[in-house]
Amino acid sequence: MLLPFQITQNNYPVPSTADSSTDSGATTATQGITGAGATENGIALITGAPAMPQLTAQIMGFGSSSTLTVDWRLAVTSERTERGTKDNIFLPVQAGEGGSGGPGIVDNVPIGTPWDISGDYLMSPQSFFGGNVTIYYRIKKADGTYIEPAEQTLTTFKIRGLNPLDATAKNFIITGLAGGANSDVFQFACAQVQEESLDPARDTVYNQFNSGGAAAELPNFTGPDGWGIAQLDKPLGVSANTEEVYNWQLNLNKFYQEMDEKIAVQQNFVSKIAAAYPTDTDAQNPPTTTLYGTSISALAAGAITLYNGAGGCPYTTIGGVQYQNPWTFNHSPPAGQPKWQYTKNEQDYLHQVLQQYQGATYHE
Amino acid sequence: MKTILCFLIMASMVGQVFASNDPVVDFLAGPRPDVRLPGYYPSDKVLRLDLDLQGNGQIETLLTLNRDRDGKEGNRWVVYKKTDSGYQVVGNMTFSPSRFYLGQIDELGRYGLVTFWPGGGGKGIFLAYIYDGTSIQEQDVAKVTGQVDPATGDRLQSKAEKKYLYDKVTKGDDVLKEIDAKELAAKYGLKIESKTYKQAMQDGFQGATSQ
Repeated sequence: MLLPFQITQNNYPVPSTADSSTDSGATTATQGITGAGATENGIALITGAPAMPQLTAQIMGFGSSSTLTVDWRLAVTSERTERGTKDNIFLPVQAGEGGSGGPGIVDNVPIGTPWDISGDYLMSPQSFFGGNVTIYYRIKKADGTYIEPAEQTLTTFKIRGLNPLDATAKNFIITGLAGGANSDVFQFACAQVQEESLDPARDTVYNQFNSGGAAAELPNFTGPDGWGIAQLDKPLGVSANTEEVYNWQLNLNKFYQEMDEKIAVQQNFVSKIAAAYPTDTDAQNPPTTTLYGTSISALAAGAITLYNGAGGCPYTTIGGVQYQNPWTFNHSPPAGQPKWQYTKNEQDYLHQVLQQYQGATYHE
Repeated sequence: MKTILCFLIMASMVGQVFASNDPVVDFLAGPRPDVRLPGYYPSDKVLRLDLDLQGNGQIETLLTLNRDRDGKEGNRWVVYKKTDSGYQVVGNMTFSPSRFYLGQIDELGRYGLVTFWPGGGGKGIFLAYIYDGTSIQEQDVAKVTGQVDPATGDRLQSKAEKKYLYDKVTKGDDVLKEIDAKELAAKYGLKIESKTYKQAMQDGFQGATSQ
C-alpha cells in the first residue's frame, strides 16, 4: 500500500554563493527532502555549524483524531564504500548504556504527528552520522494489531554535508588552541589543516566534505584511510570514527590529539640527543630557525613533519634505537655548518604547509 | 622514475633468529620503535599480517602495534620469515594496513607490496617494498600530483590510484589479525597501564614502564 508521506529537514542550510559546498550560515525554513512536495532531491544536509539535519517523517492524510499509530525506525549505511560497515547505525536505540537498534526497536508515534527523527540522535552511539538512510514503518491499530503483515519500507534518502565557511573553521582552530601548550607548533595548525583537505581542482580549503565533482558533499577521503577536514588517518592508531567523519569539529579535536602525540615523539627524540651530549648546550637547545622563508621552532618543524611521516628522513641511532627524524644533530659539524640540520620528508610536507601559512587567505 | 634503494635495518635485529615459534614474543621483546611512546595501554593491539611477499608460496609474518604509526605513511611493520629454528627479522616496511596492494607491480616489473603515502590535498606517492628473500628494498612507483581534468574540473584519478588504492587493493579488514591488550597481558605477560593512552600523554607518561 503506497501512502503519501513527507521527510523534511527543519534546518536546511543555504549554500554560499561563492562555493556551493560551503554553508553560508543562513538557515532556511523547513525543506522537503523526499516525498510529497520535496525540493531537495532526496539529500538532507549536515550544516556547516556543524549540526545534524533536524528531520521529521510523517505519513500524510491522517488527522490528529486518528487512533492509528506508527512504528518507525531507520537504518543508515555508509555511502562511502571505503568505510565498510563502520558507520552503519539503527535508530531508535534501546534505552540504557550500549543500547542497540534494529528490527523491532521502534518509536511508536500517533499517525497524525510527525516522527521526530532528530529526537533520537541523543541516544545514538554516534552523535553525527551520514550515508544512505532507509525509513521503515508499520501502522498499528488501536487494538494493537497491525494493518500490514510486516514492516514496510517507506522511502530512502541520503545524509551528506556542507563545509564550514573558511573563517568559521579558522576561528574554531585558533580559539580552541588559544592559551594552550605548544603554541609554537599550533600557530601553524590552520595552514596544516588547509593543506590536508584542500581541493586543488576547486581551490577550496577546510573540506570536511568534498567540495565538488561526482562525490560532492560526501565525506572527504584520500586513501589509504584519510578522512575529513584534517584527513585523519588512523589517529593514535585507530581509524577515524563516524562522528569524526561527519563532524568537522570532532575531526579537528582528534587532529589536536594526534599532533600532541607527534610533539611528544619529537620531544622524546630531542631528549635522547640531549642525554647523549649532556655538555653540549646546542644539543640541549634545538634552534628556532628559518625554513622555507618562515621562522619556525625545531619542535614545530619536527612535529608537523612527523604528522605526515618521517619517510625520506635520515636515521639517528641512540642507545640501540633507530630514530627516523627530520632533524639530525652533529656534535662536531664541518666549519660553517649548524649542529642541528633539518631534512625534508618524502612529501616535502613542511614546505607545503608553510606555503599555505605564507599565502593563507580566506576563500569566501 | 627515481629508484630509492633503501635497506631498512633495525639495528641489532635483522638476521637474528629467535628460537620462539611465536613471532609476537620476539616482537614484544625487540627494541621499541622510535614512534612508540612509553608504556602499553588498554587500547593497544598487536596487528598481524601473514602475507606472501614474494609470490612464491612462502608466507612472511608482519607485526606492528596499532599506534606504531609513522604519520600518514602508515604503521612501522617488522617483517619476519619463518626458518627451521624460529623466526628471523628480515627488515621493516611502513604502510597502512587499511588498504595496500600485493602483487605484480607493472611499473617495476617486480612482485611486491605497494602503499600510498599521502602528502595533503590529494597528492602523494606510491611506494613499493620488494622482498627478495634476504632483504627489503623500497622503490618509488608513481606520483599523484592532484592533476585536474580541464573538462570537468574534477581531480583526475591516475592509473596507479585506480589499481593500487581501489581495483586491486587488499583491505586490512579482510586479512588483519589483532591481539588486544587483554590477550597481550594474559598470553604474553605485558603490563598494561590502568590509564588510557590519551591520559598518559597528558601526564607526560609519568610512571609508564618503557617496554
